[in-house]
Amino acid sequence: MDETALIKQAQKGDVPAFNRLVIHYQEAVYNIAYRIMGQPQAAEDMTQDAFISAYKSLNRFRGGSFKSWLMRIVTNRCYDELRRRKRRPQSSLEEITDENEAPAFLRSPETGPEGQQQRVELAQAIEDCLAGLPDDQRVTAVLCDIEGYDYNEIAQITASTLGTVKSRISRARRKLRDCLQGIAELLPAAYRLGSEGAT
Amino acid sequence: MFDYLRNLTKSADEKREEALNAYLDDALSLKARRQFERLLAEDSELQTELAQRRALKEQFRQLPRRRVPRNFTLDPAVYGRPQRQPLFQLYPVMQTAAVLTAIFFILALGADLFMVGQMAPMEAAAPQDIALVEVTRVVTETVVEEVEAVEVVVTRVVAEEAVEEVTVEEPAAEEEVAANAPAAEEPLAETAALGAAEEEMDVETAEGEPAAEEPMAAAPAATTLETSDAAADAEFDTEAAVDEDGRGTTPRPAPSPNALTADTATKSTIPRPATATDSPVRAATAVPNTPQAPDVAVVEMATAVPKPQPLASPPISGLRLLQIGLGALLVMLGAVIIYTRRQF
Repeated sequence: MDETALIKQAQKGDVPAFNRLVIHYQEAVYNIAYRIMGQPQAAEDMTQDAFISAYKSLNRFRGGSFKSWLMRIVTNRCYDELRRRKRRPQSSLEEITDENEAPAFLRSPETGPEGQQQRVELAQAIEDCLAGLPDDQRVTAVLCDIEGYDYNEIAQITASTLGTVKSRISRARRKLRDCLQGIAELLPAAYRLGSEGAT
Repeated sequence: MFDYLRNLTKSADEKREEALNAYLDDALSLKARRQFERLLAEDSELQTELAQRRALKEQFRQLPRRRVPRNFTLDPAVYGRPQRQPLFQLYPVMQTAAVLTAIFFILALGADLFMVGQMAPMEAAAPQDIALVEVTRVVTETVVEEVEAVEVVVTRVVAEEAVEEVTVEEPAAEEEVAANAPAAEEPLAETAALGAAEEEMDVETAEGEPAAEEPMAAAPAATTLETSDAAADAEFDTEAAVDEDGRGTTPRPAPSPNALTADTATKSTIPRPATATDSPVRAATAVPNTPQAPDVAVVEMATAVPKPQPLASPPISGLRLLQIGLGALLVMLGAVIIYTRRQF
């Protein structure tokens, strides 16, 4: 895929060219949105909004990493939505039902029922701990530890300095470690931090 | 710079933890990495913490990625051409304009300060000029008053002469009518004329000379010369009028070299004194014109004396206007730039 050519075509109004870029990046964008928002429906909305916003403001893209630019858009969308929710707190029916059933993406045919259960418990624990972090630390932790971006890319996406990124990662990991150690009794032995079975 | 300041306020534990995370993410420089590895080799607690962080990171990485519930592609029918955003297109131009405006604004402020600094000594010198103007004004006022006094005297003398002329000519006209005109009338006319001449001479010595000499003593340089010249001209006219009366006894004095040279400034405006051949009427009409000379001199003096810096104010007001304009433009550009940034 010639990304630069597709971007230029999309800038000229070629929607199919932009859609090829959407198909290429939609999973990464959706996953970040999901980790930040913590809800599939909200992540879906944020992803769609981010792509629409990206298409509308495609003329302002001046080169560089298109992926980082997209991530910045979706991150800002999520920030805006989180701020909006803090002003007007609401709980959806989806949140209540999700607590009682295992996420479908965690059900893997390769592992047995026991392994599946352990993975579900761990994922739930991480998500709970992530949800307890401040927004800026959560975004930084997701980008670094889950999505695997380096410090410079994170600084670019979050529009912050390298020192800020380091500081946020450090604080986020400390809080996550404390959080996971606090619920260690609930985790399988293999996933307990600091235990012998830790990987 | 902010990172440097933030590092100053960080505790040793925070710095150590950040270094640990950066080492884990391979974000340390080679030198810092080696330094941290030396520290790690000596500190078992740090090794344990590193192991915990590594495990945590691995757990995060093992989280499965979610599959997208649907495609997020855009409908070409709905989203045709991407909207052009003129504000954003102009964003670099606005940024450059804001920077240039700021530079010009600072230059205008600097120029204003420079001009204010230059005006300070001029303002200090201004009172001296005002004092000079005041002195010259007082001198010229006294000169004008004295010339007016001379004028009054001259007009009075001319009026008396006219009366005498009438009294002299009446007997001459009646000579033919009355051949036996009384011979005693002529001596009477002569004595009247002589009396008038003597009276005029007295007036001259009493009032005319001080009027001509006082400005010489009081007023400085050219101003004095011009005013004294005018007073001298007035004196000439009165004498010429007396001479024309038929006496012809007093020769007209030649104008002094001072009067000729100093008169160059007012030559075009001051009427020349009447000559000896002029009629008494003309001389009499010429006399009232002579006091104009000091008036013209006063006007010329007023224009010649430098006023206290009226020229310095227009550039300052223009500069102020420029500053206000640039400041307003800067504020507007700043507002538009902030608005554009918030929009996009």
